[in-house]
Amino acid sequence: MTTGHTLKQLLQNRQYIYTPGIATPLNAMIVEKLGYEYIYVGGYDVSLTLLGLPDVGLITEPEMVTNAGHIARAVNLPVIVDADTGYGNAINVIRTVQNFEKAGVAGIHIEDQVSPKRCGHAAGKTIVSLDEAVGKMRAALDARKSPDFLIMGRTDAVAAQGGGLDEAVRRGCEFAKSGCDMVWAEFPNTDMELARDFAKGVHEICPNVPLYFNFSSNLNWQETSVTFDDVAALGYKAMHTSLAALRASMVATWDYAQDLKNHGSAAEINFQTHLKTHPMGAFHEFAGFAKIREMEKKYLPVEELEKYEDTSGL
Amino acid sequence: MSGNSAGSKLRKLIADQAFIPSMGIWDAYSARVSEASGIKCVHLGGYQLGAHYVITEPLISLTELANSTRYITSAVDIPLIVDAGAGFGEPLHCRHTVHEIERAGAAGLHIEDQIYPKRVHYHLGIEHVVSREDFLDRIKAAVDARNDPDFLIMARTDAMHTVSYQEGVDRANMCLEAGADMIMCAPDRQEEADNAPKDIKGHVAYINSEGNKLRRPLYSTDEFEKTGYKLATYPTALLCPVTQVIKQVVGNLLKNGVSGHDPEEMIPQRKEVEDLIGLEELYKLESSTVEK
Repeated sequence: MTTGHTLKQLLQNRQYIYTPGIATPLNAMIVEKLGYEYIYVGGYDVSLTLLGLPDVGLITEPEMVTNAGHIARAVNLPVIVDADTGYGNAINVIRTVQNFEKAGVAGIHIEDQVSPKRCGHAAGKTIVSLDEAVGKMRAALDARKSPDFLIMGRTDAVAAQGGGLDEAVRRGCEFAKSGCDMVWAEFPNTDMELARDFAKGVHEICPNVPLYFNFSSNLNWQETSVTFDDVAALGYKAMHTSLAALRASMVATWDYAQDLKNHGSAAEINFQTHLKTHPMGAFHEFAGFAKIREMEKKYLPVEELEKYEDTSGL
Repeated sequence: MSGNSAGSKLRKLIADQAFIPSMGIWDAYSARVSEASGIKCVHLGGYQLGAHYVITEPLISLTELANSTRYITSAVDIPLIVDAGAGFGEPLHCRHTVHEIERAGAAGLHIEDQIYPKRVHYHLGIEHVVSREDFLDRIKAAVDARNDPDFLIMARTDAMHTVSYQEGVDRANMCLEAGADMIMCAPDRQEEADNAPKDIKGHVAYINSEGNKLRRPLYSTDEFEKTGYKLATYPTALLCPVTQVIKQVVGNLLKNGVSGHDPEEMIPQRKEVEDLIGLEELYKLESSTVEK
C-alpha cells in the first residue's frame, strides 16, 4: 500500500487531520514520534532551512525532490510536499510530478501563481490564466503513475492581481472537475467568512472534493478565537500550521546560542540538565544507533564486532 | 584581469586571440577530450545538456546546470562558458544563477531574452522574447551579481529572429551599455551575419549551429576572424557525430555479433581513454601507499 493510499484513507475516515509544517527529515521524525498522521513539507521552510534563501522561487525542483525523498525515507507517514508552481509551465509540471512520485512522497500541491513564484502571503502575486492553471493540473494528473499519488490544486487567486474570492471559487471548482484530489485556497487574512464562502462555493458545485486549509503563521490568529474545529466545521479536511518547525528551531537555536554567548559552559551544563527530562533527551536512541548495533549482530561477521570491545562511545 | 580565476583566463584569451572557437560539450569527459585535443575554451550549451540528460533544455533546472558545471570545471583547466538560458526567471533569479554558476567554477555565462520557462518549441526555431526592459533588467542583475569582475557576462538575443535584425542589434548595444561583456546572436541571413560584428559595438559571439533547420550561415574559423566575430560555439559539432558512432557500433554488434573494432587498434585507444581520465597518476599514489 502506498503512502498516497494511506493519506486518501485518512481523509476519508477522519473528521479532519492536522500537522505542523516542517522542512527536514529530523523534523519529520519528531512529528511522527508525537503521533501525527501525516507530514507537510513547505517550500518556504525548505528554502530557508536548507539554502538560507527566501521563498521567491529560487529553490529548484531537484533540490526540493532530493530533500522530500530523504523525508519520505525517514518516516512511515504520508508526506505532502509543496511543489510551488510545478517549477514552470505544464511541461515542467510533468517532470516535477514524476520526480516527486519517484521520491516516495504521498502527494504534492501545485499553485496557479506565475512562475517564478512568490510566497503565498507576499505582496505582488500574479496568477496565470484559468486555462493555463487547469492545463497544469491536467498535466500533473496525467503524469502520475499511481492514482493514489495525491495532486492538490492550490489557488492564490483570492489576494492576487485580477483575482478575488469568486475567481478563487471558480478555480477551485475547475481544479476539482479536472480531477485534483484536493483543493486549497490561500487566504490573505483570518477572516473566516472568506474561508466559509470559498468552501461553500466550491462544495455547492463539487460537493465531494476535500479542502485543505493553511493555518498560516503569517496571519494573526492570536487576535481571533478560531480553532481547528471551527475551520473543519466549514468543510476543511486537513490543515497545517505553516513554518512550524522552522520557527520553533529558530527560536530554540537562538535561545541556546544566546545563552552560550552569555554564560559559556554553564549554559551547556544547564541545557544538558534540561535534556535529561525532555522527551527528545534520548536522541542517540532516537537517531537509531541501537538499531544499527542489532543489525550488525545479525549480519556482520563475529570478528567485525570485536571492534566494540574495550572502546567507548555511542 | 585580476588574477588566475576562470574568468581571468577567458579574458586573457579574448585579449590574446583574434577569434576563439568554443567547442560545445555536455559533460566532464567530452570537455576533457576536447581540451586534450587542443581547444582553448569549451561551452556547456543547453542544447547538448538537454540531450545529455534526455529531458531537453527547458526542463533543466539550475541545480543540474550547476552540478554539470562543477564536474566540467573540475576536469579541465581551460575556461568554460555556460549557457544559462533565460536566467531561470526574473532579475532575482538571474542574480542567483550567476552566483551558482560562478561558484561552480565557470569563466562566464550567457543569459538570453527568451521567455521563462523556455518552451521546447525553440528547437523548431519558434522563440518568444521578453521586452527590451525586462531583458536589460536581467543583464544588469547578472552584471551586478558576479563576485569576480573577470567573470564574463554574455547577453544573448534571439530578437533578430523573432522581431527583426535591427531589434537584435539594438538590444545588443543596449546590453553592452548596461555592462555586458559580449553579445551572442543568431542572425538568420548571410548579410545579417556578416554585418552583425560591425553593427554591434562590442565583442560578438556566434552560434555556429551545424544542422540547423533554418540553414543559418556557417563560417570557418578564418572566416569568423575576418568577419569580426570574437567567439563561436559549436552546439552540434560533437553531439551529432557521437550519436552516429553509437548507432554504428551498436548496430554492428547486433548485426554481426561483434563491435567491428580492430582489437589491435583498441589497445592504444583504450590506453588513451585511461590516460585522459588520469589513471596513471592514481596508480602512482596507490603504488606508494596501499599497493606498496
